[in-house]
Amino acid sequence: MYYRALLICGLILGGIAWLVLHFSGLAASGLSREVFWGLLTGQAVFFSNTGAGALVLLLLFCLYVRPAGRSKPPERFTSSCLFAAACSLFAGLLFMFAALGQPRLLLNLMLHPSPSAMFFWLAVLLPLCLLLGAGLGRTALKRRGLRLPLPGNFRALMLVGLALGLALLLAQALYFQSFPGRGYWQNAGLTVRLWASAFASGAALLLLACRLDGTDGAAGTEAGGRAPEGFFTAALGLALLLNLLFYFMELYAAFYGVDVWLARSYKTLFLGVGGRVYLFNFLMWLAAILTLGAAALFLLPGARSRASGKKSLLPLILGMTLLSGWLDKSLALPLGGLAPAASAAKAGGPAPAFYTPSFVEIFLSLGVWSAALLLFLLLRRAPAARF
Amino acid sequence: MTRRGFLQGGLLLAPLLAPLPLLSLAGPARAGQGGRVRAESAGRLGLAIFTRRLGPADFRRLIAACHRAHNVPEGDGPQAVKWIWSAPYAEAFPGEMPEYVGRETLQRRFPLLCNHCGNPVCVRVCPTGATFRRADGIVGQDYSRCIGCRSCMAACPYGARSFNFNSPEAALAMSGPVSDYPVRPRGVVEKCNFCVERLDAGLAPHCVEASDGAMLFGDLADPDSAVSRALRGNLSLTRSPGLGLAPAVYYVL
Repeated sequence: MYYRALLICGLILGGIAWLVLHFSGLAASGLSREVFWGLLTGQAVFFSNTGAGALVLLLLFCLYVRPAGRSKPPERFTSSCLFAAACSLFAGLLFMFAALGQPRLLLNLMLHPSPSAMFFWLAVLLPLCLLLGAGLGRTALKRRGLRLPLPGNFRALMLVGLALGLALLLAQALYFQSFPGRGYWQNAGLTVRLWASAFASGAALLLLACRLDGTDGAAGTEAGGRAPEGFFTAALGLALLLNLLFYFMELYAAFYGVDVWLARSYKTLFLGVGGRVYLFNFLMWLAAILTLGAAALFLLPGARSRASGKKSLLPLILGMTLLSGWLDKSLALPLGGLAPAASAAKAGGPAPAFYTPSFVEIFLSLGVWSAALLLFLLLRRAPAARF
Repeated sequence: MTRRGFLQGGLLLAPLLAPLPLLSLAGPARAGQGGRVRAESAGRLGLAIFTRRLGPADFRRLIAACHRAHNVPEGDGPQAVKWIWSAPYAEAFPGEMPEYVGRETLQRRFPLLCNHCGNPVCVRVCPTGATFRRADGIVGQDYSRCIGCRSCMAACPYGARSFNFNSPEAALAMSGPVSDYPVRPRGVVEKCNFCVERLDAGLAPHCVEASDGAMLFGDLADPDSAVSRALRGNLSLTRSPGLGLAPAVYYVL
């Protein structure tokens, strides 16, 4: 029980941080004229990206790889995986809201809808995916408790969820292609990296959920189907390697084929600005090492299997994938995109103030993580007996 | 139906209602299109700046004229709001600086402001239509509609947009009386508006008036306007023309 109290404390702390941030008008953040997106916007991207990736992977598995039986109750992993995806999307939504300058005017999105703006679609698709993921998960949990098969419309709703999840990933990729003169974002490679990262982190999240709640083990595989863990692990590995390939491509284009702006982004991320080194520079090196390490461990034969009494390294790979993905999206993505403007602006002058997250942003992040975990606990509570 | 079932049903139905606002697209009231705006008859408003004729004192004067009239608080911190400011060549024209340059190139400063692009991406990416392009080419901003997502700032490669990190009221109260121009709340984005409020009264923008003839304002599409004649007779630059945004602020060298 103590962890629930801890989460509620985190939530209260985050709420206070949000009030401070809101009533100071983001002045309490580490943001500035040139670096106007930071930890909060970056985490909005990471958590919605991961949640959408997890939703898409899970629904792909349930729809095509091993379709849910029409006569048997749903397996245990279905609901816990859906809840994990929904909670990640919930965290993304909260971060998106927290990063707004005028959250009180949020409904202007509905009063004056602009379908040509990708932010509008992000704001529409994110809550839709969240509600659908949570709703499907609750239904699966209830049916499992009653030992009943899934309702007839479940499959259709899963298809809708798949389409919405893919649409969310697409809207996110398109959003970052919209900004002229910002080469770190506006190159097609970023789309691949966003999708690969979504599937790598999403698969890691699903595998964690499977480990937490357990799958039904051989129950599904008896029928000749594949175990969900195998599918998610394969997806994780492929996505991880694809992400690395495109990362290398960008570095090559930046430094070998001289792309001045891209090179400046990478130099800022890894070496600092104007001779000054920031906290995130160390974190970027950590992210690079973690990604390479996760990929190397993944490729190591036998590291993932639990066979022959050896301990599986999979939990380590999952942790490394999630942490490196988190660093890459919540810090490298906003800062890399905004870096060239900042360094160009002060060429020759004193070292400019770049970005270090303020304590308010960090406490707010703690609050959002707590809120997402509390939602997870709430969602997977057993349904009332009368259902 | 149980209360629980009713609530759960409602929760599942909610997503279906979300796209409803799209219906209002059939006939939405478009921002900034209403009213009689005299300047809107013009084809393409723009600015020609004679950069050789502007010294440090001129910059101070024209920046102060603009910022005082539009209630932009003074200050130059990392979170400052700027409608017009000055910068050296390397910042004004990023990526265009050769390796060996003379002192004149290094020292000359250029006034920077919103370029009122012919192809404004900031307008396209705004999720609420808070930023819009008028028929006369001015890119305007509706402060009461902005939700502060900062997409337009990402879409502006010229850094012309400022976010109100702080509430401007406290800073303005210290620097004396405020003007008639609306004071923006914290958390919204703002930028140069080519002084639309003055154009309606038949006056030139504040910076042009304060520049003592070093800046010309007018219709770029009209071949007989003073701006067009100045651009025909001189070598001039725009900022990052390769991005294809068609800026309307020209720098005469």
